[in-house]
Amino acid sequence: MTFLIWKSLLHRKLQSFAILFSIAIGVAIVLSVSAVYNGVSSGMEISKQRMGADIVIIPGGATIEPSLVLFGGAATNTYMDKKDFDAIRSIPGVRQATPQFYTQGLTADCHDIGTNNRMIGYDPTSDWVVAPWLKKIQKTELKDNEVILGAKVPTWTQNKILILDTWYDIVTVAEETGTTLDYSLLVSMPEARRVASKSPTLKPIWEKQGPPSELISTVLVQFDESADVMDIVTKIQAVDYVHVIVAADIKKRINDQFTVLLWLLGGVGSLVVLLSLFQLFARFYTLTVDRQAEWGLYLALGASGRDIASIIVGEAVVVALTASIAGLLLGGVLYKVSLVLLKSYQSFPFVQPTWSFFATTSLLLIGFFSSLGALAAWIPAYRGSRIDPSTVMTRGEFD
Amino acid sequence: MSNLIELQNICKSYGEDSILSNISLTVKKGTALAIVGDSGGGKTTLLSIMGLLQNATFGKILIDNLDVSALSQHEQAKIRGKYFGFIFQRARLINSLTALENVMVPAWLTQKNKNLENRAIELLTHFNMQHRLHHKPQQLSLGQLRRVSLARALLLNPPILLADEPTNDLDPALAGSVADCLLQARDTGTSVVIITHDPVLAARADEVFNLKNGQLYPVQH
Repeated sequence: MTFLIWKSLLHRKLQSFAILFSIAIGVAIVLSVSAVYNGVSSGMEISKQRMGADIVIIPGGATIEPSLVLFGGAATNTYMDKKDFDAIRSIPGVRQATPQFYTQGLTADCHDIGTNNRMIGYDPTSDWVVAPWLKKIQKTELKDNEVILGAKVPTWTQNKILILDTWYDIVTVAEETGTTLDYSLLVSMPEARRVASKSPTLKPIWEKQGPPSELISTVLVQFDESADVMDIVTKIQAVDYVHVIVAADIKKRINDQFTVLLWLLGGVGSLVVLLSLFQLFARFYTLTVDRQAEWGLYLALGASGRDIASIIVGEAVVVALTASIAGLLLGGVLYKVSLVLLKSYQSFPFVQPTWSFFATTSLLLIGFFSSLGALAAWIPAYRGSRIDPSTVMTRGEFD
Repeated sequence: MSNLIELQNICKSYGEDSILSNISLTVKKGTALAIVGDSGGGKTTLLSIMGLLQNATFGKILIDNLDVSALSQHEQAKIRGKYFGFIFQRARLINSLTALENVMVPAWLTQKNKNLENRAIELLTHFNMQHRLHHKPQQLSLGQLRRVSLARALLLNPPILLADEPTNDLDPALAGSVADCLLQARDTGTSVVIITHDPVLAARADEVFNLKNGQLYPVQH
């Protein structure tokens, strides 16, 4: 019976492939959308839990997407006077504030790390933003030769890392955040300033704005629960020419964007699945008419109606099963492409889904689409099983 | 010789249109029986009823003294697989399968495929088809298709062979060779029922009947 199913599918290669392809596309979309959704929603959930900053303050001239600063932890080479930090911290309603200093991107060389990685100076004593991500809490000043690594910073030794010709001791590695913090190397503010001061590319900035020892890149602020946000924002803007990013607004906008994206992708995925189902149904329904003489022959040669139904359902399940497996492979590729796109525009925090998520989703998809195949062939199979065996005597040529 | 098939008062009608009326017929083991008659006279319908491919409007069919007319479709399918080998007007081969695979189909459908591939090859070789075992039906001539169809009908050694105009469209030499193969089956105890317009083939059967106006008349030869 299995052989007959296999031969029949091979005989109708184009039809079989067309259906297989449409189901595979459906499976691929469902898998990749689920994985991206899982990664982003986990990332957002973690960010909500741990992201302590209510507002992020960057220099006024900085042209960076606010969400990248908030969720992406994106660093840019824009600077403001470090006195602004003291002024902001003293505004009534500001519970705590912490500065950060961004250096240049790190160029890759023999044993060095890639351009995705950036050294960031942070202040462990006032920080509450980075601390929740650290496997080992660091509440004292970092020494100049100490570094905290983001989760995805490549290392070749366990305790030391070479950055721009200097060896640093690795204090700890942060947990995965789904943001560019994963690619960051956190050092003390003085060390970050020292590294930046030697950068030829940043030299024009120092000439214009003064030495790096007097500058900071950003201030992260958390205010009292009862504080008037707009009032604080107004007061911060009076301190200097700065851009104030309010976390709640960004989070809501990101959430809305993500919801729209999800509906869009989910909608397309659902449509493809629905089309596959109709196509499968139409194909097997047509089969019962086109192949009546063949079924009649099988019946004449000793097959029962149940056998005919098994052949029809079997063909549908084989197509759906093969398509599901192909779709999973295709979905993996689609997911990887989505990750590249997400990375290039990292306004969504993203945490890689676990292997158990992929395994469970894959099994569910295989089960679902195979059942869908069987379901689509159910009515055709029922009709096929009721075919009058004498049709073999009266029908025309076989397909 | 004992009776293998017994038709008792078989009637078949489609609405008001009566095709077969009150037909009784006995087929003994190891004999060949030919049914001749005008086109559209109901010969193929009678063969279908005999082979349990369709039910009679009235009457009984006994196979090996078992009344099979009242059995369920599933049980009738089992009887078909066990007792009958069919040779249809057209060869009725599956285009996706090779000649050898086509011969094997009854074995696969009845789950009796143990060592039957050798028998299938033997049968095809016997019909001088050994060089065409792996050819698809589209690559075979009309006579070769008929021989594959004949091998398929004989694969399971069925007690009864039902042949619907097996020599139709064949040249005399080929028709003679197909007839030889069919009638040789008697030697192994198989009963053969042949529907034919070919007087030469009919003359070689043990008994000949003429189906006329829905009634069956013996023909002396």
